[in-house]
Amino acid sequence: MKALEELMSLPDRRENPYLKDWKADGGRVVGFPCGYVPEEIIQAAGLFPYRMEARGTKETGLADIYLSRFNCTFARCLLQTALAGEYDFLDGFCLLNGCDQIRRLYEIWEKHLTTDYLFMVTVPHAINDSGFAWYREEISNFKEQLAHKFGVRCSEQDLRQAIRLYNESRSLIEELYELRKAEEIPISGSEVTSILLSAGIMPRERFNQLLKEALDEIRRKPKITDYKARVMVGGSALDNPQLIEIIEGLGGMVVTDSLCFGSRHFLNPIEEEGDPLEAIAKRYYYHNPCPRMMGEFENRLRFTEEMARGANVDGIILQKIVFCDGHAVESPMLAEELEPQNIPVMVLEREHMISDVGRIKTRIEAFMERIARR
Amino acid sequence: MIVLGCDVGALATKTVILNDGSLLGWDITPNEGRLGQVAEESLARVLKATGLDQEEITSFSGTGWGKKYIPYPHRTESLINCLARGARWVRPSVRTVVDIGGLTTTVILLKEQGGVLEYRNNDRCASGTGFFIELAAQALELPLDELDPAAGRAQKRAHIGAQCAVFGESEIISHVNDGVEPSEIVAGLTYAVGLGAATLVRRVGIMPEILVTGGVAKFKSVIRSLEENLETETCLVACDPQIVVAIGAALAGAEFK
Amino acid sequence: MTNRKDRTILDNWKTTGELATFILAQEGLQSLDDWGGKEVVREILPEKYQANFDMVQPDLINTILKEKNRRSASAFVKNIMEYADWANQELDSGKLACYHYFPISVEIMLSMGMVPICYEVVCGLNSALYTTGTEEGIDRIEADGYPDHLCSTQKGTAGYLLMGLTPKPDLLIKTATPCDASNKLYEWTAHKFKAPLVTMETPYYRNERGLNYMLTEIKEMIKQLEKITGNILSEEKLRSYCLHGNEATNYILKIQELKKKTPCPDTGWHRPADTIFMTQIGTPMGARYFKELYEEVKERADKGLGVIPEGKKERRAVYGYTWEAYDLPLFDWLEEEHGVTYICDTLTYLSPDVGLVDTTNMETMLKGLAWRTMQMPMGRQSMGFSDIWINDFVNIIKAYKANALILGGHVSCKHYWALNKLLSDKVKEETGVPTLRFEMDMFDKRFTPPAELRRIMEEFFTTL
Repeated sequence: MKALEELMSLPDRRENPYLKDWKADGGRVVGFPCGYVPEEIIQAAGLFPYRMEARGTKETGLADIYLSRFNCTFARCLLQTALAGEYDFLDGFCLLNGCDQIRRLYEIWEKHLTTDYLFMVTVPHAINDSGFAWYREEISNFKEQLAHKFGVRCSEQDLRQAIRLYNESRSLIEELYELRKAEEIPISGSEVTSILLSAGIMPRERFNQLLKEALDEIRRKPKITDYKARVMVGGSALDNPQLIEIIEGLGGMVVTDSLCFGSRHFLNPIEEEGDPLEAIAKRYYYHNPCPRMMGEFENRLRFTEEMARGANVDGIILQKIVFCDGHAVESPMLAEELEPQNIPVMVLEREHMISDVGRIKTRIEAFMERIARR
Repeated sequence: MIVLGCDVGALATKTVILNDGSLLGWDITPNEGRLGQVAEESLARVLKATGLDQEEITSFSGTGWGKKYIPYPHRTESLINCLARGARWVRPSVRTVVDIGGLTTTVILLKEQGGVLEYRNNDRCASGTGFFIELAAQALELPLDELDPAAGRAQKRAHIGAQCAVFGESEIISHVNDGVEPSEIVAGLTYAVGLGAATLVRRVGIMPEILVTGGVAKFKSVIRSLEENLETETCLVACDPQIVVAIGAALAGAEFK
Repeated sequence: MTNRKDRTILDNWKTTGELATFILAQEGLQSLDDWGGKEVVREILPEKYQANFDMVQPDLINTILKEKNRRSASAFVKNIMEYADWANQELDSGKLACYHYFPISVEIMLSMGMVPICYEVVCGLNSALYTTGTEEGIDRIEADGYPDHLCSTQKGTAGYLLMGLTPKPDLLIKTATPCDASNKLYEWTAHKFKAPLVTMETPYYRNERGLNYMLTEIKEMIKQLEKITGNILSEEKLRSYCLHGNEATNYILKIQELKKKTPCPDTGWHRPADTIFMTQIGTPMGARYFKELYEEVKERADKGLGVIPEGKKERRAVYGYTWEAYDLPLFDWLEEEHGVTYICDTLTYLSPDVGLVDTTNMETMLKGLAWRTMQMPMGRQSMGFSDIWINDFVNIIKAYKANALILGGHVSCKHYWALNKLLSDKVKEETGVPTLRFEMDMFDKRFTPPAELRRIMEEFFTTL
């Protein structure tokens, strides 16, 4: 189980050996906090696209100097991690107006941190032709800026290669999600969360290699048959398997999701024909949308339903970080539509760092009682 | 000149008497919801302690969140001004005052010559204040005065995120249910309070010397956390830290005269 | 009175306007107490006004009865009355109820025969006028499981829609700025009431590319509106409304310029109303409101008159966030008790960059409207980088010789709370002006009630 073990354990290791080696070889790293930043462009420029997370952050004393208790703890934890020096390895940070919370980190980061280069990619809030044109131009500018600032080439050829590489990940991960649809569950949701987190923090070629091997290992693993319910998780950015562990510890196996650290990031492949930049823009702009996209509720509802029915779930847990406006409205809206379709939904509020475990367990236990199959 | 200052806080009323700038006597009485009455009682107690008659006092000044409840005739003063004056009286070289009270934490930056440069209160949330400590004492079923020694004894700290006093209470209960040592829970709690105060200080800015006042300043564990997070030393007051505001009120009265 | 449930709020506004006009007309009435108090005044009112009178904040009535506030008050009540009346009539004639976000100017909506109803004004004006405020609307939407950390400027109206007290929307228009919270409640409204949601993106950058994009968005919006209404946008009609819009804009900018004088010649109580009537830029009544304000301000300015009591030292306050809708009397109290004048805030400051709309032809008008959308309050500050908000206020403090910065931050505003330290640091660095910081909720008085607001203000202004 070596490959699987590697992928599952990487996010929790004190030191990331891949990152260490990359930097030791003179490689440069560009971080990004949200799924609307096209990783393929960073990859194509020969840089390491690093999906930012703040899993280990326990308190936000430094971040709260600049932000406040009205800002979501995901954003505050990211800032805290940076102010504590743990993002000093970044050579660049690409922000975007994914949500208000993330977007407003830009100016604070600019003033108070020393990351060499900051980038901003802006994404229109509605899905239409003029929005696509704007976004297309934004990522083109981003590519130019990367090339210029880091003094690298980012050719069409490089982009095609990156697309193929990341599409391979997508197809492997789709395979993984397919395996999870089985009645006898091959791998727990918390383990999958760790695997997906690894994708964002190690060189993609190596990740694909390991995941290929890991899929075989997963197929050979003993199956999980003794569970109370099949659960889908949705909601705010979830960069930590801890919540999934809690749910699974109470008998609810997480077999699918609609998370931005999960399915929404890794499904929807990029077209491999035609202009690569255009293809990248298309995939990212039109992919399964985040609640920040206005007027797309019907699409998200459909997507949620498809994922839920496809994996034969007994219930959906929509977790939202306190002050996450997008998911705070989206979750009750989804619940209102899905409950009458006989898909039980629970909306759970939490902080980014999960400290009041008792309260969360009590709430989930009650939901389990409702949706348990036996 | 004998002057009196009364600070009616959220949780307690403090009354002091000064004579020509020297502290003659003081009293601290918990409010327990009886604001006006407690002000009278506190006055009576401090008069008794100093052996003075009410007529001997030339000025009565009131301040604090509940100053309007003071029933005897008095002039009112801004709490911030009183805190600034009191802090300077206690320590003439102070530039940053951190007052951690029952419901409010206040940070003041003073001008070199005294006088307020800037001030800021905590967010409307009790998690970084005395109120949270009282809540925790109840949840842990420990008397208040045992909390600080307990924190001092702890080998390690339980994690209390305390983004919110309600969630914080829930966290404490979770730890209790998990069998965590009470001393470790208290250590985590006092650390969180100190961290909250430190964050507020950093929002305003730090200028040495830093003085910590207010009821919570009696908690050495909170002070340790504050110093650790600010990476600097603070000074303590020689008198009871809870009466600094009342001293400032009395001094304001003297100046007015 | 329509006596229709879904016109309750409009009907209330109309009646309030009428009763306020009646009260203002009473000889010698300088305050409710002058005539023996609220109960006595109630009895002298015509019966049809009495129930409404019970709802209106007594302190607000006392504020508008003061000599220095009467003229602006008359303009205020006239506009409320006229708008309510007009909206009712237009809706009765079958025109579509178009709920829109407040900085979206209404010229296009009017030209296409819709009835613009500003989503935020529906609850905001209730908050300003009535003791009951808009809390019941807020509570209603929260009771349905929607979070308290959304913005009360939408929550109140969302609740009213659920309660059926305001007309059902036929369509909604929203700019992507300023925030996710407002976007989500508009999306909710569209879904819940099965009304089309027309969105306009606002560009992140304030350059040629940005303006072109904004223009594209406006044109797209028009296409969608043409589909929904079956009406074509007429150049002639648009021009006539744009001319009114220019008139209003001109007066707003002129008033702003006059406020640079010391003492400040403009009373502060009507700031929330000023923002509310910015939603009427493009209408004759909007132009009239700002004209009347301008004439009064000019008169005072010409005579070197101020609005604070004789002998008090003027403290010129700039609000780096904005006002509390539920406490208009606060700003009068600040003038009277502490000599504090209200220069401006993020929602009443209209950047002189805004310019006027060139009415030569359709293209120039649309371009002008696109540009204006990028300058309107809240849009301008939150479209792009926070430098704009921060630099604007540093410049305002300097230009208006402000000596106090009030940062009462609205609890739901993630933007503000993310940039507030950057803002106050820069202000400290460049101007040294003292800053007051506190939390409040713009439309929900329970968070920081009027008594608490006064305590906080008094603390600050007596410490300064």
